[in-house]
Amino acid sequence: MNEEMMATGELVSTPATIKQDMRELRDNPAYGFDRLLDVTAVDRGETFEIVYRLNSLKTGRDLVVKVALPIASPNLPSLADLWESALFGEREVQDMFGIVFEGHPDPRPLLAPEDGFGFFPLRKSYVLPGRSGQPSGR
Amino acid sequence: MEVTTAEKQLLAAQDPQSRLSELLGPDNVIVTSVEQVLAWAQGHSFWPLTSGLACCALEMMACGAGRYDLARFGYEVFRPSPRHADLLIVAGTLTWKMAPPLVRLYEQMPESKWVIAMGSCAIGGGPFVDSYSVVPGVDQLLPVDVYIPGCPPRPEALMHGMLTLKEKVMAAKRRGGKK
Amino acid sequence: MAPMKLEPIGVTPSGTERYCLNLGPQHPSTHGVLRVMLELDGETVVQATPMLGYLHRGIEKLAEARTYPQFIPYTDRLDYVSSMCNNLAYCQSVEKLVGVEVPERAEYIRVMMAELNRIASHMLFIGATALDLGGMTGMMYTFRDREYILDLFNLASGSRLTYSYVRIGGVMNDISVEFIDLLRKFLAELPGMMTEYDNLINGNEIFQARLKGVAVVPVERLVSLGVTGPVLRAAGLKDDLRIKKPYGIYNRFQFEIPTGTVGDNWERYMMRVLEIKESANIIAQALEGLPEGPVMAKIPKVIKPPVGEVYHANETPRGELGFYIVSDGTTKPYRLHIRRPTFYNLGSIDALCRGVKIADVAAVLAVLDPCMGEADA
Repeated sequence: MNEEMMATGELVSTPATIKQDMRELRDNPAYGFDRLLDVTAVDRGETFEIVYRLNSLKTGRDLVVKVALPIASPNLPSLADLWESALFGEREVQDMFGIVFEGHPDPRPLLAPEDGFGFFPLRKSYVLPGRSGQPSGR
Repeated sequence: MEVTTAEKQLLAAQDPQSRLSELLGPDNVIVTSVEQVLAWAQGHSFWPLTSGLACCALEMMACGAGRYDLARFGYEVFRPSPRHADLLIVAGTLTWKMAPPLVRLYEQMPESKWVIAMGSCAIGGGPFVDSYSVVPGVDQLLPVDVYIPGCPPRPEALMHGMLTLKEKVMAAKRRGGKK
Repeated sequence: MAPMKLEPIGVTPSGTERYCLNLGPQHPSTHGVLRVMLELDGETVVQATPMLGYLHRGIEKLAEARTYPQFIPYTDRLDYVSSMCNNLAYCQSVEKLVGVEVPERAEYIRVMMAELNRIASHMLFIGATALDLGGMTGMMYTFRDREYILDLFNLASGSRLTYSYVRIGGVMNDISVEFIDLLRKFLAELPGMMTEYDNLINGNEIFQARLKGVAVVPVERLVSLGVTGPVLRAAGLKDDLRIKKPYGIYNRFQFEIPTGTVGDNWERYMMRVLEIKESANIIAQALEGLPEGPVMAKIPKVIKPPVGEVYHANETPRGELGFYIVSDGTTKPYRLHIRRPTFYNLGSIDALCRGVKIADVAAVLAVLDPCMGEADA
């Protein structure tokens, strides 16, 4: 995990090992990534790619951690108990992509209405319906 | 030379003092209807609701501030509660999530009430019209009286819109039409 | 009928019940459409749950349907109070992806515009905080002074609020001599404006008493929450992207980063007041060093970045604004994600509001300086 990660600034992990990898990255003083700046996802066709952006205040280093998830079962453990910024970040990814973060203490929709959009907007399978042809007026 | 009635009327229309003195007549009395006085009062003192949604709200605030000064028209009393307000300026993008609260605010406002759609997003969705979460124009849900184009409209445009609404309010009452 | 006998009742301890109050999406002090569900025990807040999404316009999905230059106006409307800074962050991300060298004059103009926007945003912040605490006069003064900056932007770009001035490869058009004269005049008058605010707003005892000592959160918690910007600097961390990862030509300027010690509402407020002075300093240095030359690089008419991805972040008045762009080689982004500072800053509302009185909730929201267009995107 160590050398190539420091060279490229990128780490690839798996849903099974992500929790312990992240714990190691946070707690090991050699790494010391004490903040999770951003959580997002990219729809790559057959998989979802979750992208975590970590930063260390002590060393000033950045690290990008990527996890590939199968589209059929997009589940992975929540990191909300490691960094509190994951509370909001993961809820946004859940609303937009439908990825389930297991163990998230408050998995209610954040940006979507209370019952969700009814679809997952940022998936490539959802296509914007084009300019609305609705007439104005009542 | 005798001044014809037509010329007299033309001159009177141009001179506000003479128009007023003509209106008042020799006894300093104006005969009018309650409707017209009410319309005059309402048109000169809209109390807008603080219903800024997005970027246009900043131009609305700038209009109420010192340089553009809505106070000189009587419109600076922005009320936070819909029960006290009679003008809903929808300033900004309306999303489907915000639509029920906005309609509820409109329903809570007492009659007579008017709606101004300020900015492209309120008129017809604006740059976000093809988004999945944006209402393509506030007139899908509420009856709009005045549309103010712009993205965002300058504060002068908002002033012009409100003065247009004043004309509309006063004209409707004069004709005896719907508010 | 016998007269009523009033018997003394013993003093029994009464329990209190939690009361749920909705600070709904329409409220004078929510800075846009923010909804906060407050659980109160009497007047003290026990829990505060922010609910976002009332201005979610789907900008990230729309980005996949627009070309790279077509997306610039959308970045204006993200954090609409500091449009120049958003434009800059986006354009620098695309320039990183495409590999464009921006001309020197454009770089200097970009810095001047970004710092002017920072001053305008902080002036709006001072006015809005004063307004939220009940002092409407404060808003009138700061809005009047902010109009001078908007006049400058109007001269340069044609608009007052959403400029789309910074473009991929440079800026939209050059600044005129009139602009520079007006800018010098503004910089000369700025210390007088700040003294006025010191006397009227900052120096006001009641204003200080309402903000000092309120909503202190330990800095480790703020770091874990992903909070960036003046709110984090008030807690004592000198964390500013302009010195940690300088973008553009920020490494050529000398400026201080104000930091606090305690991290209460007062220091969060004062951070921005002090930053105005530093921004004026940067603008003065940029004016002195402004070179001649073109303001737009030679870039192809159709921007087709190579396949790849980039992340680039700027320090906006609210914190770290980052653009993560994944390109698949076509004219439209494959995925565009915006790391929005207000989104993560609002996650700290619960931590900040616990234990404060309900009247202070308005103050906390005010000094967080949220901009909902950015939080919801």
